[in-house]
Amino acid sequence: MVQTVAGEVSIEVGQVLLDGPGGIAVTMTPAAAAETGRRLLAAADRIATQSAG
Amino acid sequence: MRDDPTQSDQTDGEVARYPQTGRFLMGRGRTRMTPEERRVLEDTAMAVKDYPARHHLVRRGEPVDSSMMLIEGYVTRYMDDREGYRQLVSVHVPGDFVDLHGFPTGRLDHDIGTLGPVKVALFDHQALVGITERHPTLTRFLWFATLIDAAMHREWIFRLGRLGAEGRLAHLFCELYARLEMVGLAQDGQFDLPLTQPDLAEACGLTGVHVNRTLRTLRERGLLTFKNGRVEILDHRGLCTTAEFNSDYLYSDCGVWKTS
Repeated sequence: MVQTVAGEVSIEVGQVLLDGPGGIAVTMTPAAAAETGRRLLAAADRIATQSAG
Repeated sequence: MRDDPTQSDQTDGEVARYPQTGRFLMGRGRTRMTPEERRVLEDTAMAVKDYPARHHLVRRGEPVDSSMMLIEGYVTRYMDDREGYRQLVSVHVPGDFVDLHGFPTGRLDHDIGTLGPVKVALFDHQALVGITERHPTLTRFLWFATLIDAAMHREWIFRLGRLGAEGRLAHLFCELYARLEMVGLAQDGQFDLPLTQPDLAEACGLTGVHVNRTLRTLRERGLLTFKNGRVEILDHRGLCTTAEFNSDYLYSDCGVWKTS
């Protein structure tokens, strides 16, 4: 199922928690969360660029 | 929550008559077993053993020539990944025939360990052969028990694949309450559960940090508290809704808990 709603992000004892979308429930270090965020943004930007072209 | 105040009394009577097997299929078909079948099962147990908490009972791949019925305490089946991280694939409560599937397979594809101190009854596989040859109806009850196991595994796959952190934990608590209530070990929304937060994490595919936060959320929503090994369900309907819990897969005699 393709998710159309963004996940919820929170902080707990120095870790980043991602809840959703769907059944996702992940705990990441701040560094892993930051890198994941960059990769997600980069992928979304590529799709936006392709769509515009 | 079911209004069934006699379940605990009924179970106590069965346990008095059948100390090792009195909780087997209690609340889901046991009353259809004849007294002779109950006696045959009880007398087939060859030994009773006590084990401490966090004790390895069966290792994956080792040949097994007996199966265990849990009399007291909690046992888990689990699998470790190559980095040593553990996934609990089931939690067993008294009355469960924990590894009956080892009877036809001859080995297990997972490990079994105790959570708290336990008492188990051992059933020699040759003695189980005798049951299958002489007691076909009792054999079907044993088969039924393994089918319930399979149904619970399907439900655990659903839990891990479709539910978020709150739903996964809520679902586990709903299931354990339903199962413990059937065998007379939970009532009024309360039961003992000697699991740690890391245990809950390993059962639900979460981290300990995530479990800690999610338990707090469930408590703040007024659904449940879990403190010092004691669970208190404060809002059963709300917890079931969060868990998308429908108890039909447990095949209870007392019907199904459904949520809208």
